Amino acid sequence: MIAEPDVLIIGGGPAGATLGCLLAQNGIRALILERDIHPRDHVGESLTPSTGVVMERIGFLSKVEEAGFVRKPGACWTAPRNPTGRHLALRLADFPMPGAPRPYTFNVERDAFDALLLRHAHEEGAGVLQGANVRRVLFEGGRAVGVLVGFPDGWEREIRARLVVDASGRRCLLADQLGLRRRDTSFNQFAIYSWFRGVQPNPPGAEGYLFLHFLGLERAWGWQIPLRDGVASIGVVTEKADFQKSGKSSEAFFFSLVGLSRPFSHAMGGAERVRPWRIEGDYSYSIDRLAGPGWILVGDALRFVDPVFSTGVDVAMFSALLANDAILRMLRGEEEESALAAYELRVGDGVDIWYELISLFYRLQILFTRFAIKRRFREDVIRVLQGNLYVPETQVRARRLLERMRESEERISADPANLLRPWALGHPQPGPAGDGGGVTTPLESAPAPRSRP
Amino acid sequence: MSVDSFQRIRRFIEEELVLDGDGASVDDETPLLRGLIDSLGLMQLVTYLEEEFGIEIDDTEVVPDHFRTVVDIGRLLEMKGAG
Repeated sequence: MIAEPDVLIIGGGPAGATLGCLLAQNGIRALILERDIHPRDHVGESLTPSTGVVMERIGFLSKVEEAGFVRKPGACWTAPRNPTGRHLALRLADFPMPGAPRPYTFNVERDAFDALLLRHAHEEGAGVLQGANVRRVLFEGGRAVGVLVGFPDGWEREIRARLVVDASGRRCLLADQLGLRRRDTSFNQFAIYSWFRGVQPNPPGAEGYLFLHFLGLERAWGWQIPLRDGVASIGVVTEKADFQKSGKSSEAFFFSLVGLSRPFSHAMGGAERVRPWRIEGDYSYSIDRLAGPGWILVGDALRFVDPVFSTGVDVAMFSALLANDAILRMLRGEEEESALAAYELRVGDGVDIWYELISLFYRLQILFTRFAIKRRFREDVIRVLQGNLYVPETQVRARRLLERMRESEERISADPANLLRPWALGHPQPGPAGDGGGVTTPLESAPAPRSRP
Repeated sequence: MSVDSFQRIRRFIEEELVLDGDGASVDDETPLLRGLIDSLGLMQLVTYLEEEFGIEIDDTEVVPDHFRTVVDIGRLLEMKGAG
C-alpha cells in the first residue's frame, strides 16, 4: 500500500479525508499523508447543509449524529444596537435543500470532527500516515510523480504515485511550490478567536443557530457558534488595518470590538476563555490553476476567501467529490486533460460564485439583508447559502440572485437619499482606534435636511 | 389609511424595532430615522409592510420621504392603494 499507491493525498483534513474515503470505496489505493497527529485544532466550526449530502454519500453522517454535535438550524444576524434577544433569523428548514438528508446542519469542534472523518477514511480502506510532513511534490518532465515526505525523526523518503492531490489546506503546498498562489488584495481581513464557557445561551427558539453580530464597522462582524458541553466558539473579523491602527493588544482589540455590539456584549458578559487566542490575517487568496499533469488541488488548497458563509467544509467536501469523479475517469482510461479540465471548470465556477456572493455581502451590507428577508428572494438566498454551488441548478439560481442584487445596487446608487445604501442610517463607527466608538451619526442630524415635497 | 393600520404599524415599530429600552411610545409624527430604528430595523419594517399589506415596495422607494414618520409610511401605502 505505502510502496505504490494510485493516489497520494497531501493532508488529512476534510478535503483529503473525504477524497481518500471516496477513492477507497471505489477500490482505488489512496494514501493520505497528514503532517499533524489528529486530533488537532482548526478554525471553522460551522457547516453548511450541503455537507450532509457528502457525509451521507460516504457513510459518515451516522457517525456525526452519534457524536452528538450541535445541530445548526440556521443563522441569526444582529445589529449593534439591537436590544437583547432581538435578531433576524434565517431558518434553513424554510426551504429544505433538495437531496439533503437533514433539514439542519452542524456546528462541529473541528479537532473531533476532522479526526473522526480521517478515521472513517481509514476504516473505509484509505491508507493514513500521520506525522508525515510532505516537503515537496516531485515532478518529472512537467508531471507530478510523487512526493518527498519527512517524518518527525528526520527520516525522509520519496513516495511515488500516479496522481498527487494537494489537500494541505491554507498551507497551499503545491500552489506555492509552483508559484500559483495570488493574495487577494481586496480582502485584507484579520480574525481573532477562541473558545469560551459561560457565553449566554442563544435565545429560546434559536438554539444551535450561528449568530453573526454586526459591529457597525466596515467589513467587521463577530461570530458566536454554540458547541457541545456549554462551550462556544467566538471570533471577530475586521480589516487588518483597523487592528494595526488601534495599537491595542489582540485581546484588548477583541473585547473592544465585542463592546461595539449590544447583543454581542450581552452574550459575552460572563464568558471565560478556555483555549489560547488564535489570530489569522491576510488569509484570502486564489490559485491560478486547480489541476495539471498528475496533480489536483482540493479544499482550502485551491482557494480561500472569507469565512462569513461557513463555506470551508463545503468547498473541501465537494471539491473532493468532484476530484474523485475526475480521478475515476482518468484511472479508467479517459483522457486526463479533459477530466481535469472538467474538474477545474465545475469547482472553479462554484468557488467563483462564493467569492462574488461574499464580495457583494460586504459591499451591499443592508441591501444584502433586504434580499435575505424579502419574500420574493428569501428562498434564493437560503438555497444558495445552503451550499453546493457546483451543480447547474444552484449555479443558475445563484447567478440570477447575484444579477438581481447588482441591478438593485445600481438603481439605488442613483439616489443619494436612498436608505438602502451602505451607512445611510449612520456613518460607520470610528472603531476601537478612534475616540468616539459606539456612537453612530443619525442621518438627519446632518444640517439642511431634505425638504418634503 | 385606516386608524387601525396606523396602529398596527406603530405597534410593530414599538415592539420589534425601537432600539433603546422597552416601553418606547411611537406616535404618527415620531421621527423614525433619527436613531429610533437602525438599518436592520428599517429592513424589517419594509418587509413587514410588504407582507402585512400585500404590497411591493421597490428598493428605490426606500427613501426618507416615505419613511421619516408613520404618516409618511401611511402616504406611501395609500399611494399603493393599501391600508
